[in-house]
Amino acid sequence: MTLKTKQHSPFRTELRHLIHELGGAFLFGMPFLYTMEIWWRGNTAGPPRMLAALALTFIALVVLERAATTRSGKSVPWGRVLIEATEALATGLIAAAVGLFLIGYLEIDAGLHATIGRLCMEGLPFSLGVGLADFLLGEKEDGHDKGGDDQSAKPTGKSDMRERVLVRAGATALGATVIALTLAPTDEIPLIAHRLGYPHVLGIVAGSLVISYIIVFASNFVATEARKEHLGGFNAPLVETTISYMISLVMAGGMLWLYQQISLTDSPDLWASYVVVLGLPASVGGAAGRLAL
Amino acid sequence: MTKAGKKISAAPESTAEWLSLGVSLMILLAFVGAIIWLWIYQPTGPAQFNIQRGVVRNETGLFHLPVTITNTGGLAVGEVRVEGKLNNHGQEEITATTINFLPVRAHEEVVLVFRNEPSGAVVQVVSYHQP
Repeated sequence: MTLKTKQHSPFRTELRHLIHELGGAFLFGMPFLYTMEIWWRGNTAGPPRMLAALALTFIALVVLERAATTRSGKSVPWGRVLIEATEALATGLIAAAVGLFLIGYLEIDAGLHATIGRLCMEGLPFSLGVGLADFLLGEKEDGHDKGGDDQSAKPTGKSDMRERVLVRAGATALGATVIALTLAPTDEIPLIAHRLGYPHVLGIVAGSLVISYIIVFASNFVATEARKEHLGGFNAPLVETTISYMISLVMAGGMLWLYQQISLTDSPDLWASYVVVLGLPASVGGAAGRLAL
Repeated sequence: MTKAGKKISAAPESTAEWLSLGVSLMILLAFVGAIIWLWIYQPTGPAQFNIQRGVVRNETGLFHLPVTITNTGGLAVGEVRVEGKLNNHGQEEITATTINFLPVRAHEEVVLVFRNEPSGAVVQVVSYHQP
């Protein structure tokens, strides 16, 4: 199947590239955001260690970006590889800052030392996420290069649509469960949830929706343009994102109950904060599940 | 990641690419600059504490004294126990709380609750853990 490639302005192309990098950062970095030892190490890391973390990440990104271009069979000058690694590192640090802010661990009270330390330590996995996404998933120009989802994205009949909705819901539930399973029993969930006020909880809801939308529909990991072109049912990006988030919340709630973090007698406030906190990585897992289709 | 479908040059090719690289470099320079600043002006020695009292609140007959503890030393510490001691006509009233973690240059506000008016109370850090 051939699709006409649209010519975008350089600014739009660059914006899409940035969104692609952000998608990769959250996709691979999210489990590390919910690892408290990384925040603690950031609190106590000295400046030489912080610089070493940035330098090592940059070297790893150069290797990953070079490997990604070699894998795609393109001849890319080293200068371009260095530029891509620089942008990946900066994007990873920004993504880590957004992630830490969402979970309430980017506060002024912690002091500049701890703030920069946490960002350096969390920036490492988030930046590597950008490089890994480039290496493993690549970027599909205009979202059409990989035709894998083009076939399934075309609704041909009611039964097809029903089947696709079921498959996507199942993929979301599976992806969300895999991530929620690993994080639900950990101390990070109550640790984060107990510190959050209602505005912050709402911020996490908004962040979860935006991040999962970016990963599935705006990151160009797969034929996202093709997916967006088809409306109706689960195929409408906003509807799909919202329903998938609901599924992720249900899976997160189930895992929290299963691992005795919450019980039926707990207050609705506690339920809401715990489920929303675990819902952030679960929704990223759900998005990853849909990407795999 | 490289953009597909065209010959790729080593340098940025459009204003948008230059802008993207410029912003990325600024972010990284700000980070590296902040780390070097921390390195140069890093406090040395063990943890030291600056204690600042806030305004006392009377709530349902109990006196709430907010206290801000700042770690001005060169080491991050944990389990910082803050104690308030009030001598009220020969009777000693002691109240305490613990701060889980206090990184270098960080500050944390805690509240000590007294049964009597605590303006004359002595507030100090009595113990901490060095991670």
